Amino acid sequence: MAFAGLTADARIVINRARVECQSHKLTVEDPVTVEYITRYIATLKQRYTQSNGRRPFGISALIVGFDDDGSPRLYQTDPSGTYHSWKANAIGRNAKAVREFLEKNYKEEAIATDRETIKLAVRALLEVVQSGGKNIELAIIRRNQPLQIFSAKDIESQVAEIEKEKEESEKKKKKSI
Amino acid sequence: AGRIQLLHGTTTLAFKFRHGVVVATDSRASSGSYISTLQFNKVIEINPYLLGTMSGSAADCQYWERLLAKHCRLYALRNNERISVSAASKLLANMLGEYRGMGLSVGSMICGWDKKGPGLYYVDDNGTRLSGPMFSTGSGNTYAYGVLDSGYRPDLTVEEAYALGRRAIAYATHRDAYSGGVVNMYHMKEDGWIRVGRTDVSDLLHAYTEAKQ
Repeated sequence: MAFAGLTADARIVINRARVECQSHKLTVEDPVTVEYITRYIATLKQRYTQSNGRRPFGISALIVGFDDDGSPRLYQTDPSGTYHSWKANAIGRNAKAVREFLEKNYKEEAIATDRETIKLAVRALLEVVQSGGKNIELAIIRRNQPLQIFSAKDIESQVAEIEKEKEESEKKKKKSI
Repeated sequence: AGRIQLLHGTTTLAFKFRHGVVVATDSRASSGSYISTLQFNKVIEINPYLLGTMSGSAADCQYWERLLAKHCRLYALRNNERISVSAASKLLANMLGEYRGMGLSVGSMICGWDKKGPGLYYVDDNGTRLSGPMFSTGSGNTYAYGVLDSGYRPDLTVEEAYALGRRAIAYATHRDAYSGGVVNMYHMKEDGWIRVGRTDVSDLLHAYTEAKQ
């Protein structure tokens, strides 16, 4: 789960989700589907918009994973408690710009290989992140494998590669003129 | 002081084989030495792909298994997919577990067919929940196990499996005073269960005796 908003609120939601994942496994003997846990989190958030003495959770979340049958899933929730399934999305202060970038650039070729997909994600963030690789975190989740968080070095090398490609495409443009 | 207890005497059985799960029960409901019902259906049809058998207290079994049916339906509505046999049996086991030591009497087998194939679980009022290829419950279960164990092969044909189930129930009713009536049989297949039929036990036993001559 990736979130945007109040970190303290996020910790509460994450903890509730973790407990529910175990509870589900205990009572139903199957791991949760991504949709189920998203629905649980969304229901939790909605409850806090409709009871006294409480304020809504100040986070939007992107919930990512694989179902038991191997299909990859991406869901987005917001403080109102709604949730939707997405192929690509962004949350946070500059989400609009990143989303527009993805709308333009999320294509079959761009997600054909792991390398290309990583580049797409980094390029999307570089649109809105000032100081480049230092302020980017990247993680990949692959089917039946634990979450892989990229080291700062790997991210820097990705950013460097992207900058180089940008320069080369600018040079080509200049030449063609 | 007598508590009226229906259905304590029973023989039910279920076994997995290549072509699914066969479920067979007798049909006698007794309160003490009085036969209260001659033809009692001890199989609850939870939904087209889940069956539950009853032994112990008729009231308890009926109530809790119907409640299970309600939960299974809600699960399907909420999650847009059928509940697994494993989950359904776990729901029942957890419900019964909450009343542990308070006098519930339920010995049930939950049978179905889900994504993982044919499923068979034994669940009882102690909180026991076991998965297995063959179970028999009730006062006549020992007699049924004898016949089942000697005749069972995983590659039985459908007709052979029906015959084995019938024979096990019939001979159990022969020796157990609290079992009798008719053999109620179901067959759980990939696309759901079918009701195979009901055969009178005395007809079966006569046929078996004649075959021996």
